[in-house]
Amino acid sequence: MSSDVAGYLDRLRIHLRLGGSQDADIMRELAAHVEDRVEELVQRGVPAARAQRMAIDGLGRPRTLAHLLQQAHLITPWRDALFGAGAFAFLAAVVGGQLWRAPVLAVASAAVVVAITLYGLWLGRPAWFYPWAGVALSLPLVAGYIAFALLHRAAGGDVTPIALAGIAGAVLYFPVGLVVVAAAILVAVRRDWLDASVLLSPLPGVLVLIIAAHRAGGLASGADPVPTTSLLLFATYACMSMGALLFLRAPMRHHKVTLLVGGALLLLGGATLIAWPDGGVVTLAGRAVLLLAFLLSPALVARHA
Amino acid sequence: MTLGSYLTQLLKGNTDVLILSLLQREPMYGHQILQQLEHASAGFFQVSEGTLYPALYRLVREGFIRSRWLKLPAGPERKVYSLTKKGQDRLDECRSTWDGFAAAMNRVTAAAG
Repeated sequence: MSSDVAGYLDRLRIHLRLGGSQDADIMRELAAHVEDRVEELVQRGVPAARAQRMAIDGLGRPRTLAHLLQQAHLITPWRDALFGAGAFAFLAAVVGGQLWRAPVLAVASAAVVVAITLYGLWLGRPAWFYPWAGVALSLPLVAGYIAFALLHRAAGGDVTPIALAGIAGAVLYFPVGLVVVAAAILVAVRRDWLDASVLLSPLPGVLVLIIAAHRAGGLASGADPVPTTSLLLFATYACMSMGALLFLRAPMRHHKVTLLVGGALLLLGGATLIAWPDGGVVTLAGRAVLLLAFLLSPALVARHA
Repeated sequence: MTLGSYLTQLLKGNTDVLILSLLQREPMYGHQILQQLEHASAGFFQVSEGTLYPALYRLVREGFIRSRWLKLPAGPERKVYSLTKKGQDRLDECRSTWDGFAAAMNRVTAAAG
């Protein structure tokens, strides 16, 4: 094998990371393919060096090919799966530790999430990108709530520059927020609706937190910062972190769908039984239908895209 | 949509059927599939390796084809793909759907022309 081919396969291996035997099998097959292709081109009269270059070029960029092969195998490498699951663990820490109540920590956490999401975009949306992008998508939700809270304060006669910023934010919130979420879902659905479902998965919990915080008197009220809800959401996101790890490592598509649906129902059931034990079966069933409709809506979009 | 992207979309949607059809004739390895595809379509279908190999691995995962390393008569070992019973059933279904689709397209385009 020439150094050019070996160099290409080394770069491919760096990005592939499916696991020892699978990587070796793919490398062996692609090396054989390049060998066949070079032989074919040489027989057609192409000089050997140029034939080798053409054969390697035919495989495309190592990173792109690795990404396509990973998608074909559906299995996400351990390192990527752990990093993807880390998005929910991070959210669990932010919610459970109530870091969101301290402005500096909240902004720093948001910056970390946005930076990781942008890095994932730059890398071409690897599997770990979607959980982080989902957490990033929850930021407009929180920002929107803050904007409306400031707007509410302004309506009470407290017209400050910050309140005016709140008004501007509130006016922009719905159109911009909807466009951002819809665009993200459409882009994700083009590749796989399951990715879009993962993208949506952090949002219900964040919404629950906002509602709980609002009922407790709002973010700036100084009231008891919803300890029960925070604890419950911490447990939920910690479980989702484990679920995301299993989801990303699942070898078959139906395993992923089962994990998504089963995990959502189990978490919703568990959380409801702990927080609202007297809620009733009908309420629980209604919430389950809403949650599943929300999480599976990308499948519907994919059907009509 | 340009004619080029129209053809790309058509090819993308039918890569699996093309691969299954070729493997129905005989087991083949990756490079052989690309050659046969180009040859059988008189150069019309030119599938890249970046499309072929992910499609092959996906078809293996879904149980439509199987693969194993075999020593070729010429000497080297190659990973050879062959059709499974499930793959044959899928191919029959796809052909039936394609026949219906092509007939309907022909009826509509002929009427429009």
